[in-house]
Amino acid sequence: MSDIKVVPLGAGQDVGRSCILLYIGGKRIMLDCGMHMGFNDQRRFPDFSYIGAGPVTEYIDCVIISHFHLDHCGALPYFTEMYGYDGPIYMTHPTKAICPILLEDYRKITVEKKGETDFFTSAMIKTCMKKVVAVNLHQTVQVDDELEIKPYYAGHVLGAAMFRIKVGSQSAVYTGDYNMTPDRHLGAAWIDKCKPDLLITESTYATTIRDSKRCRERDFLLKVHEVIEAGGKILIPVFALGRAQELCILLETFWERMNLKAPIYFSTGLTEKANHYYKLFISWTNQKIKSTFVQRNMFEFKHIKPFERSFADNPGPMVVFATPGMLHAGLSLNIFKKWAHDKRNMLIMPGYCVAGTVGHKVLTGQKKIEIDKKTVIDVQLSVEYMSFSAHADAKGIMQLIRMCEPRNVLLVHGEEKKMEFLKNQIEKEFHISCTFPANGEMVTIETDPRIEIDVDAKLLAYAGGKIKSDSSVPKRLRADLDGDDRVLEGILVMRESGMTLMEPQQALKELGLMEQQLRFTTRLGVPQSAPPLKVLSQRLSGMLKGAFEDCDFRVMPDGSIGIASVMIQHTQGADPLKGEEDRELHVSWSYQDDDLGSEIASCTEDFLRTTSL
Amino acid sequence: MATHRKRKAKLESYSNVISKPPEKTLAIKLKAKKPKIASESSLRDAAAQINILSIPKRLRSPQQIDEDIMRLVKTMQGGQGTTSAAVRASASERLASLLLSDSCSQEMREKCMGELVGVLNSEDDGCLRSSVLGAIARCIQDGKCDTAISEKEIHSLGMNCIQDGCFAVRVSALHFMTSCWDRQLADLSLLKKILAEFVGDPDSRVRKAALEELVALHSKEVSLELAIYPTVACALKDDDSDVRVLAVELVHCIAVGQPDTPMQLDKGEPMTTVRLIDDAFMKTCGMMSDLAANVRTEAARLLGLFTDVSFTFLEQTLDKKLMSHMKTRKSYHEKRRDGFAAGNTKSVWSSGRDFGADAAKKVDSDECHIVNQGACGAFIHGLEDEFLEVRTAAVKSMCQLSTKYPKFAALSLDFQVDMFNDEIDSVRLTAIDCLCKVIHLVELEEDQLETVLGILPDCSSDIREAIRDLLANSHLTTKSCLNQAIQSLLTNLNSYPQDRPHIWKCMKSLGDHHSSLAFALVKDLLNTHPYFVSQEPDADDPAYIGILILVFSAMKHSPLMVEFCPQHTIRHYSYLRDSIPDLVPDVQIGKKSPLVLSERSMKTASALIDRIMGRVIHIVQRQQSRAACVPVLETAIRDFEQVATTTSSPHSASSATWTCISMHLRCLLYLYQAFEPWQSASSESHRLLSVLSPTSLNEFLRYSYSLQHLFCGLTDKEQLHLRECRVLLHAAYILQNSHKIAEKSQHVLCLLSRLQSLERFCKQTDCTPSPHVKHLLLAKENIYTGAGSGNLLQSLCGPLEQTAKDFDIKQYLLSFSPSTFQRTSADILLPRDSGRGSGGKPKQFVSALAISFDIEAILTNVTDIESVCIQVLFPDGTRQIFYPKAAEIKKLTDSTHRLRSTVVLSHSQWSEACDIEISIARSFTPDVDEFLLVKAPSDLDCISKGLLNLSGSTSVSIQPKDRLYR
Repeated sequence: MSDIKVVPLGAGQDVGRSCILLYIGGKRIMLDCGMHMGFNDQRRFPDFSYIGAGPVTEYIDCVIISHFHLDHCGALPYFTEMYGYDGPIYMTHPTKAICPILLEDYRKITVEKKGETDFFTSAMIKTCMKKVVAVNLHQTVQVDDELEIKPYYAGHVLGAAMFRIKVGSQSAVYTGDYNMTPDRHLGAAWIDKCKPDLLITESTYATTIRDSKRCRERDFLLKVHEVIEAGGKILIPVFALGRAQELCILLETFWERMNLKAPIYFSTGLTEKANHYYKLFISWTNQKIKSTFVQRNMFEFKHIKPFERSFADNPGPMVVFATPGMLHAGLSLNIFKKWAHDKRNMLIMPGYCVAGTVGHKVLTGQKKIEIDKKTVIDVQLSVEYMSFSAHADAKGIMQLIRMCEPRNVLLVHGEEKKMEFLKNQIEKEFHISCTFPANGEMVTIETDPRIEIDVDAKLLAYAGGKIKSDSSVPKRLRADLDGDDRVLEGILVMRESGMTLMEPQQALKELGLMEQQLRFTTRLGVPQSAPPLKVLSQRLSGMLKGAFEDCDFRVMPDGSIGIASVMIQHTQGADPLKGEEDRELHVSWSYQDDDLGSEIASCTEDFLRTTSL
Repeated sequence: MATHRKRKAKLESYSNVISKPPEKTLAIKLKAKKPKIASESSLRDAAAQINILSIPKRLRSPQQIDEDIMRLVKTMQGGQGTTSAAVRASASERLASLLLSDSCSQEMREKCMGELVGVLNSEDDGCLRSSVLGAIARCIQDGKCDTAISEKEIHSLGMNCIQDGCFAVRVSALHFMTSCWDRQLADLSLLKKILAEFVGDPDSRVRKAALEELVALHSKEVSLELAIYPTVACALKDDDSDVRVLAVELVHCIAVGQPDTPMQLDKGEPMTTVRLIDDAFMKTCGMMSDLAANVRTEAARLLGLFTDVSFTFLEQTLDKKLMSHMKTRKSYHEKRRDGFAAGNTKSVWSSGRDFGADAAKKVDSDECHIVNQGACGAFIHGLEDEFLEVRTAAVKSMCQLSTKYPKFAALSLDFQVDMFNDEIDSVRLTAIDCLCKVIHLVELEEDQLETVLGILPDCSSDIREAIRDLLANSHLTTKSCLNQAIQSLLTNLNSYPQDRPHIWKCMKSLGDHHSSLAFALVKDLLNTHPYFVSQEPDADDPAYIGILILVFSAMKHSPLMVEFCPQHTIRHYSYLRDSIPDLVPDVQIGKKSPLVLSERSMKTASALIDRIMGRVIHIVQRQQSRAACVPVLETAIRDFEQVATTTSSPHSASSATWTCISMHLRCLLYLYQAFEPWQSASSESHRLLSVLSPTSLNEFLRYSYSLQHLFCGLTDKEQLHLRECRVLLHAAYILQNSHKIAEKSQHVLCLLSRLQSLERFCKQTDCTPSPHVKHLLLAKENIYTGAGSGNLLQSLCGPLEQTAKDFDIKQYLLSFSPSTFQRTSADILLPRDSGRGSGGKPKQFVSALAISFDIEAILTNVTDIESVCIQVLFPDGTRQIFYPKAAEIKKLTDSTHRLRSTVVLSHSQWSEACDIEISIARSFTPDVDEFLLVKAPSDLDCISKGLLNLSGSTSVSIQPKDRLYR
């Protein structure tokens, strides 16, 4: 129970099909349920058989979907409808709204274009979405009595969220994909100092630190402008949602400002539907759009028109946003085939490309690209890569770690080598442990078990006043004090109902016990050369009075000296044979006054030594 | 010894038996719970009781005040615990304010202070103790009650309360100690130590209070020791954002005090030392990536206030890729040096622009720290921030630092220019304004200029103007830069014709600053060809004029340019020099030097005034018959008016002077004509013949008030003179109508109040009224003191006639010297004239609903901005006045303002389109209510309502319709 276990089913040292199993406080949570873009066989879905045999609902307490990108939610209908998960699924409102559109699109491409069978159907998507519970930002949702989750804003795309998962005293944060730099339509990810035991963060750009986004924007606009002026066509492969809207806003404002006439097209279909949701979920966007939507909703584009297939052959300059973003299929690949041979044209890749896709091949500089056995494309157009991807860069990841102050970090959703580099950085800077398991590899994270103890308010207040100065802490404890640690002394009373820390007196009273005194006594032999005891005792008391004048100092009638609870007594040797020789001083003190007592004892010892000389 | 004392206190707590019997604590608990059960009713009770405590604000006798105080003291003490703590707390606060009032006796104060201290010591409710302590602090701080309590007591009170378990008491105690410390031993270091200790308090509110008090101390110019610095630096990592805000501020405060103290960096091998100010700067930069926006805003603001920071750190704020944190400062230098030596300034981090460049490379991980510490990229973060508050603060700070470090200005230029593309207008505007302040320190490169010019067609006129101001002040590096700028300005002129004056101004400064670049461009600009004669451009084309302005301005610095100018350009020069003299400088062109011309014309103008005035006075003085003066004056007036209309610019001083003189002469003429019958010994019947007509009265007042309010530069004496004129005319009116006017009529009363206002004016300005009105003033005095006869009119008539006989126009002629006056005026730029005459379409709107007009006008020589208003005159004679808000008037230069406002009109239905007249007017306060003398308002001026028109009117055709859809 005192550890957290994590198993990535996908996205472990890999980008795509995010799916992470989290065992925390006896609960099992599936974080994201995505598919892989690079594969068309069974590898595209996470290996759910790992979870266990039989009805899967028993093994999983809930599924959390961070955002609507297919590599985070693509396998959800498969998991719920075909694999048989029947428990709750949590996602934010925009994700719930947009997710089915993307899933439906994905299904269409796979089933209708590629003619695959044994795939989930539209009806399955519908029933799957019925199981979804939508949550709001910063809303604490109680999944069951012990498990609670809370979403935070993550930037990245509309509705993307980071989730904090808490069971008892253990907590973990799963970031999904997030972005620490705000852009034209979304704000930056934000989380409070929740100090989780574990932070599971994506690390797509683990080794990149990006330029200022303004430079990137300027570069992008400049390049677009140049090509348009020269009469070329620009193809920007995007995923229907996310960067597409960002670039649309950027181009729309630029077109308006520069009064450009060249058409901008956006491949229709799901984008239109998606834009509709963007207009609706204004509260999830950034400061600017939120404040100006009363006058004009930024997502109502003036210059951007829907695209039709025949437009691709039109002469003259144009800008086309086409899906999908990695050029692996569909319209964007079609247009690419048509335009690739013309030098004036340009391909702008605004985001990450998974290895194996056409996009990746183009970017790595291949001039002849084999799409299938029959077609080979001769790439003549200029290719630009602009990191408009809305993932946090290395600095952003570090910033998030600083923000939420986790005790452990786990990296997912990235490439192994990059993760290793980042891991070293994190361990060096924050001195916290960092791991990056591969798919199917279980990582166990030890957590400090926390025990809750009731403390008497009075005692706490007293301690609050007391801890002001170090001197009030007993000497033997002072060495342990380090930084923020504070010492509170009391008696721990364990009852059935729980544990309580009490003041000693009160504890004794409640338990009906007598207080036992524990006293230390030191016997100090008085040297023979020393003056008679009476004189000695007078001198000693004079010396001690000077040294400890602000303590409660008293001299007893029998000549013994009392300083607070410390007593100094002198004894005459009981053995008459030894006579005057056997003289001793007894210094005794209670254990609470250990430091005072030992100080007095050493003083007395010194005193005896000096007087005897 | 203090440690021993504490040790003892601790010992006692263990050895002593608990002093309070447990039953009692139980009882207290029960009592405390009771109000919670019936919380609503108790709340109401408490509120009612607090209301009863309120002391009426009217004056009370000392006795009553004493009673009040005693009542409050009783409430505060609480009796048998019947009153809730909140009521008692509020009683203590009210008590403090009563004690501080002057009417409270010293004895009472001392007594009450004792009571307050008593309550403080005996009670244990946190809320009550906190407010009582606050009350004591207030009393002591004020200095009135400081005798009541000894220094030692203050000290022990503070020390006592500061250990309290309740946060509120600790907060008040911190405030109490800081505010009362001045009186105590001058040992501030102990206080500072205490405050620093409480920066580590478990309660964030106490931490905040401690930091607040430290900041307050600093603002009182108490130097803060270095010893506090680590504590405050720790508070930067606090969980509470308010604490962090204060901590950032304090870090800056401490560091500024002793910038050069060496600091050891906490971690790092080998140990490196930096200056304190650098360390503070780095820490503040680190706060730019804080999670709370208000902390980031504060940090961004503070960054600009740093002075004396080492340039290395400043440099880092702009470089995100500079990974090396100060820990390895040495290696950072080495790396840079190595990088330069190898000709490779690129760092190990890929910029994200080239795909594949971010593949993991072998990086010496000892040299790289991605952590957000140090000054690395702080400004880049700030400029990219999600919140405009942070971005604005960062832009401003960058500007402040740039002015201090010219080298930084050059470095940061790119980033500042980038901010011109921000999505929020106000940030863009701030960025432009900020860059304007530092643009003289840097040169604009071609690509930067491109970005700047890209914003020129912005739809916000403020931004356009700011960009042009920026251009006007900038240094361009190349010929093509200048050409680019000129072309953009011309395009701008085309799309925004209303910006013409500003674009021309910008052209002028461009020419002034870049004469050599312009020299190289002159052929292209003027479109000349080596051997073909090009077509002569239209001299009224604004774009052509703009280019000429630039060329002539540059020509001033390099006269050789004249050789490249075609003939027609030189001809156009003299035309432009005359029509827009403030934009076209004197240049030696051709044979005729226009310089001489204009100087002569100026000379002749002023000489002419003198000559004409001299002659008028001469003639008037020489005239035997006074009646003969009239035609002389009339001719003079006609001449002056004529000259005023022909003078080139209506804003130039001379035109104002001409108008002014002619108006003044007109006033005098009216006066002269009014008094004329009395001056020549003519018969009674003759007098009756020349009765002042209401129209001429109206005219006179209009001239007189216009003189006073439409020109600036009038001295008090001249204002008095104008007031006197009005008094005299009123007197003349009464005199002429004496047989008609009933005794005690409003006219007479009005004259009296006019005299009174005159007298008041004299007193205010220390002027002596002229002998002409002395009789009248005397008569007024007599009437008010009751010395004169019973009949008001009769007692006035004598002095009136005397005044009329004494009236001497010559003296009045001489007492007005208008040479320094400037005319106040307004030019309406928007809306354009679209009356029925212009053939524009009428604006249609649904009757009784609103229609809005954007008004834009340039105000010249307006001294009193609040008096400016927009006047709308409807065809049915009703008039509506709109006073623009202060924010809608922007100061352009010393003498000009720009008004940009929106008026919202409505009207009931008309059958056809009609014109409304929109004009800019100025309101003023007439001497007295003038409705007696002025019956009908003239077109736009409305004396009785105190309105004078500053501009001509613009007519706009509107048509209210009856239905929304037809």
